[in-house]
Amino acid sequence: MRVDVIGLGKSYGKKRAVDDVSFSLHPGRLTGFLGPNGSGKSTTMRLMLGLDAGEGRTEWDGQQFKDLPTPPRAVGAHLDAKAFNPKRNVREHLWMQAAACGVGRARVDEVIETVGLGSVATQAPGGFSLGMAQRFGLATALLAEPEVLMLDEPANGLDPQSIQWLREFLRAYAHSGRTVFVSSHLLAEMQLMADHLIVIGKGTVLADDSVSNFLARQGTSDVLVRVPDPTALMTALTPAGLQASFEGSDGLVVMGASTEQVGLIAHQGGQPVRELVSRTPSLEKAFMDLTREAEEYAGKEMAS
Amino acid sequence: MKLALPPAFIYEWRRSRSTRSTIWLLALIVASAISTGVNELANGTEEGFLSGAVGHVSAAGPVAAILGAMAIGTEFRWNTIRQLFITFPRRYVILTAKIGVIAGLVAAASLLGSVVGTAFGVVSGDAVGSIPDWLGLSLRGMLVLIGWAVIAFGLAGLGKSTIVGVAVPIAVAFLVEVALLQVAPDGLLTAVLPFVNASEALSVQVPAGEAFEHLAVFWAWVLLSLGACMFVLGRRDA
Repeated sequence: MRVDVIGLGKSYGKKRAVDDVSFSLHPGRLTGFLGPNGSGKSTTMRLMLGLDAGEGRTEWDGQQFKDLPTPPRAVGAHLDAKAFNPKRNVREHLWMQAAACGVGRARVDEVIETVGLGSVATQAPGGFSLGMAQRFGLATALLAEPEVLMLDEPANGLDPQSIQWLREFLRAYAHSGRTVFVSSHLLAEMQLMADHLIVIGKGTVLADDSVSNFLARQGTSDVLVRVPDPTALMTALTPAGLQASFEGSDGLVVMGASTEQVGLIAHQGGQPVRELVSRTPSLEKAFMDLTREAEEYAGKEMAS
Repeated sequence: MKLALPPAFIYEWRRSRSTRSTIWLLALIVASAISTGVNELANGTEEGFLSGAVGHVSAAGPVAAILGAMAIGTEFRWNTIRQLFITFPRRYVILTAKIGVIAGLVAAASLLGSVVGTAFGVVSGDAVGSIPDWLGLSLRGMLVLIGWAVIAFGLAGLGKSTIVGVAVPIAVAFLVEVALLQVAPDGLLTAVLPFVNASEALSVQVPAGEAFEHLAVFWAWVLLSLGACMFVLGRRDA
């Protein structure tokens, strides 16, 4: 199912939380939704689902959400980690949800096993950890095997093994032809998980691109080399048209060069190479660079 | 032929059934009839057959209010209102289903209460009265109890709180209206008060036609509360 978000907007008093946000989500693709705290991610998701009133519209294969014949079969959403009655057990909760999408008890049991809650299926979720609550929410969203899966910070509270499981599960879900839209603060995780990124800051879309293009556009790769005499190496790099800067007592960061080039120049200068590594830009760095100006709640830097 | 209920009704039925408090509160409505009947057995009554049809309603009203308020109030309390409106984006559909299921459950409990109350009433009082009169009283008793539940539902939806939904109608019925009746016992104001009219609708001495007029006044308030709730919840950010 293709999702077209067209000109979404929302104000809270004088504050413009979401301003003319437009993007598209495509089947077979896991789209990450990134933005600093207060950037409008959750509000955008709520607007898409018609939970909040605002400007613009979202089309689900050309239809309004409320006009879809069986909405839970089209869209499974998990927006709040602990949104359940703590006294209603897991199976009863899902059985209740099953009524809305017309699935049977077999599917309820299947989805409980899928998210790994089989051993607590008859337990009330009041005492669940955040990680278990996330799995429970994911089970609710997955119940009708929806064409679109929307998850707001699903990895919060998960341990490393669970995060790895979630990543593999969501990638497989997307690559089976479904549309997956995930917001997260875990940038390294998103770099491994997402095919496409939408970055939002102060309520506006800052980037809408594939992960590889986003990294290529936002960051530049460089080469770190450590040698006994970095000043001499700096002098040797200049005739080759390479720019470098010092890093630490014995390091140089060379821009726009390959490790082979830098290694050869160091060798020609007779310097033993202690370290030579190509550094590709991380999503975290690219994200920080892009959203620095759009950060709503920035803390003070620690004085060194 | 198998009756196919709309998914929203099945959803709400399963929700109600999986909440233990629903069962206890419905049992409490029937227990109100037993309690009233035991009291009549101990003290005697003059109109056992007819009064037994509605004997449980006064005590069961607040219980029905708790049932009604919880149907929507718990969605706010447990932060499940968003999931509910994602599941049913046409909000009035699930709100109608909630009202329908609660009304059905309260109606069934009230009818059972009427039968139990009448059994006690006949033993402790007399069996004087016609079946149509009994049916009319039972129906009015049932509609008053449903009204309590719906008013509480509406107020809980507006206030986003079960407590608001329960406390406001109880305070109006047992404090505000009692005070107003003492200040202006025969005024126009008292003629339009919801719970005074509900009480009149259940009186054995009031003729059926007049009793249904009182019931209509009470239900005007019920529909006002429900309409305001539907309007606001249909538009408010979840």
